[in-house]
Amino acid sequence: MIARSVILTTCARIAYPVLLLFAVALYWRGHNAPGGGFIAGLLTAAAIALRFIAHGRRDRSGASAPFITAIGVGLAIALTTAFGSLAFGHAFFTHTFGHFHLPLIGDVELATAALFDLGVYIVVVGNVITVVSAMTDREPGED
Amino acid sequence: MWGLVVASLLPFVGAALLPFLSKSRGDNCGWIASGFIVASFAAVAISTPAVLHQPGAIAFEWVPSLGLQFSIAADGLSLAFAFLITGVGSIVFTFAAAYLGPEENRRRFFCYLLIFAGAMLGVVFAANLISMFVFWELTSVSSFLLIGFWHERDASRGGALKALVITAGGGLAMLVGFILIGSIVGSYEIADIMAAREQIAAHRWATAAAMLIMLGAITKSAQFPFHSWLPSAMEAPTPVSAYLHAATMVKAGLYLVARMGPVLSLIPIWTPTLTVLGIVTMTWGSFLALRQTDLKALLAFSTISQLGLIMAMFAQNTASAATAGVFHMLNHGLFKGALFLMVGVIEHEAHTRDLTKLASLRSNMPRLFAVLVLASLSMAGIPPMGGFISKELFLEEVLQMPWPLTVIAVLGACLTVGYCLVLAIGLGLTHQDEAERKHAHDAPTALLWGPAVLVFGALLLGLVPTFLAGGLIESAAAAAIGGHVPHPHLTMFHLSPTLIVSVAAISAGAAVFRFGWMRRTPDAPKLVADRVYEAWLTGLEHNAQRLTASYMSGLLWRYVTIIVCVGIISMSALAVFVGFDASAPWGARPAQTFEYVVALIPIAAAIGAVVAPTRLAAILALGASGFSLALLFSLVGAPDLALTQIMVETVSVALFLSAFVHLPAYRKLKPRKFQPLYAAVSIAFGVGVTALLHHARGQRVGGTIADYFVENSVEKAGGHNIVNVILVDFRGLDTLGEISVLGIAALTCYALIKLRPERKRP
Repeated sequence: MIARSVILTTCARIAYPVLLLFAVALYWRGHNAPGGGFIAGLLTAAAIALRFIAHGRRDRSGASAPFITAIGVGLAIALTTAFGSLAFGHAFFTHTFGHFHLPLIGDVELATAALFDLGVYIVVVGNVITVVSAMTDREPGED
Repeated sequence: MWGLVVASLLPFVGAALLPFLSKSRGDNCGWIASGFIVASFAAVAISTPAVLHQPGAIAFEWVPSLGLQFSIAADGLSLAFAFLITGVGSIVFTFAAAYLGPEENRRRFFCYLLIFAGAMLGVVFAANLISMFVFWELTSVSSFLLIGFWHERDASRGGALKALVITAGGGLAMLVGFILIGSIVGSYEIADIMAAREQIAAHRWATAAAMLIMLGAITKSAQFPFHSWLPSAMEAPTPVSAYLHAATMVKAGLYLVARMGPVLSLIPIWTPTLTVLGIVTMTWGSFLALRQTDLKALLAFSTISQLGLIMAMFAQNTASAATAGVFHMLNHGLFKGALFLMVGVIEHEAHTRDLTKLASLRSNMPRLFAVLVLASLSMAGIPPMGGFISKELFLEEVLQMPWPLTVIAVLGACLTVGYCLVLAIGLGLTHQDEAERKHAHDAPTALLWGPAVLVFGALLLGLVPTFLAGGLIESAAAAAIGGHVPHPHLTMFHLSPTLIVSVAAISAGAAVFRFGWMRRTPDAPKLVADRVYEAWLTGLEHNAQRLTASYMSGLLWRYVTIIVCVGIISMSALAVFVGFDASAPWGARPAQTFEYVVALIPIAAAIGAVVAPTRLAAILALGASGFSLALLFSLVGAPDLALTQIMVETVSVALFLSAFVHLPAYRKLKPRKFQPLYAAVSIAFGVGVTALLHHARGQRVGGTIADYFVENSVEKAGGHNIVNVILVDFRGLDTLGEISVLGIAALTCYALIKLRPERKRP
């Protein structure tokens, strides 16, 4: 990709942080309103893919490595949450939640389910970007 | 009893700690591992008097919901084996520590060896059939790893695989037998099974269970016709051959026969089958041993032969035979372990173990030769070694058997003497072509004292057997027959018919050796059992390849057709066998106009995708179908689904884009003409799914689970978004499975794309 669309590059530069913020918001509100880790993960992946398309990828060789790692990290988080309840004497996958009053923010509900959802989020991002970058790593016509 | 728990755990603890305790190059890990096994030996020895006085058991809950216990029981039989495992183990470990050079991966080696020792102790102390099975297979696995220790060699890998396939396969048959027994009795505890032996023998599954368990025992102990894995296992480093494939692991089958004997010998098929197999194995093994020129192969076949002998003894389930079996098993562990270690030393010093290439050991390795002669004497059953007494006991049993068996067994005894003389005298002879043969220096003391200690043990078993092991043998034999055994009077000096047979066998064996009736062939002919195994293996691989190739055509459309057709077949089967229920009402609620519109878009889009002239157009048509679904979701009040659908469509576009440049021309892939077959398949699938959905609507019993989710989402999970709560909480396990699949799929994708073999660039 030699010639890049200026319009696309500019739009992507603005859209990228907005999309990421929106994804975080979707994740955070997921427990109580439409959203959640899976959707947020897909949105983040789409944002990163947009960046790839608009800017190209500077370093082709190593770009997918952190995303492969992310799959493992996400799975580890999800598994830890699932097994964590065993440490407290509850059955496998027992979630808990509580309400906390934090300064400035106010009443916040924190749930272990959200941690599990974080694992889902990371796995989804890792999955999509691993595949996308694996496919774009190869030069066209290399076959 | 707790001493034995400690003894069984020590090897596993050692295996776990070894990587941390040893120095970076693994210089000292042999000695550390030896320390663990010696400590285990000490624990067994300390516990022995108490256990012989009063056998005991300890049980831990394992899977209480399945009624599984992790229980340990000890009696004389377990102890006799435990002495072999830890005692011979101590010698072999220290020998291996001196034997393996720094170029070997010693840390890995001793880890495997410790795991094996622990697993083997687990087998003999298990008081529960299921835990015995688990340890049994663990010994097969560790044996696989140890045979394949030099994994860069083809023969090692082949031998490891063969041993695993045969022993683990037999182990699976044994598991089925255990399960049959367990379901007859209602318990897997060996004590309960002993108590219910009449009930088992009378049951109609009894014969099947006995045969399956027998299969496990004879594969593990390399009995005819499953003996072929043992010679191939000789690819392992020599200490492994000495330990696993002479002294301990191959005796697990004997242990099983002895342990289950009181129960299974009540089943008519048990004793005759095992006796015949054992005697045939003994004679056939000794015949094959005579034909070998490779020292290790000779010892391997002799092990097969000796195992057959002990197997035939344990199969009798009489006091005298069990005494003979236990005693010979102890003897065999000592002298065969020693012989293997000495072959290791010879190979180490002379760099060959071929009989026809070795120079006289008598002049080159005098100290080793002396020990070798003593060990061979014990194997041949010649005074003053322990082997003589156990051979006499064996002949005494054999003389009471039907005459064909007696003849075969005595023939086997002659051949045994023959190959022992090959070892003892053949290696010591000075040959005419001495100069061309490999000379060796005498073995260093570090390598020699291990075999010497073992042979000294075998000598003591000949001189003072009753004092040394009388109580142990009595208790072990009693456990093996499940009754009382008189205190054995083992003595070297006696006059009986067996002595005459013994003398005759020794003379005949000497004649076999002297006149070379069994010419040794330089290239030992391939075993028939080996040929069968190889034909089976290559046939399996070949056919599996053909079967896979028949549907793995590499054509995506064919895969999709197969998947869809399987779907159609299963739905048709459902319709035929369960019936189609059309009772659910069509149109419970009048559809609104927008729903018609939204429903028509995917149909139009699907048609568009089929007729689209370019790939981009087809992708856009698919996208239209996806987004119209999202529209439908949001209109009927499923914002989460709509969001997900939109995101999935968006990401799909990105994936298509990145795949675009790699794909071949679209025109080539697209069939030019209308394809009635594919049209029919597509329509059948669509109709099928619609019918299935309608059928499912008519099958609802009780309320929907949705009510439960609605009621409990806030209260129990603290979330107002039911969809999300289901995903991460109520059905969290499903999600965990799904994201694992996602992760694996991404890695597979990555591997498929990136890790192709390098192609030559133009």
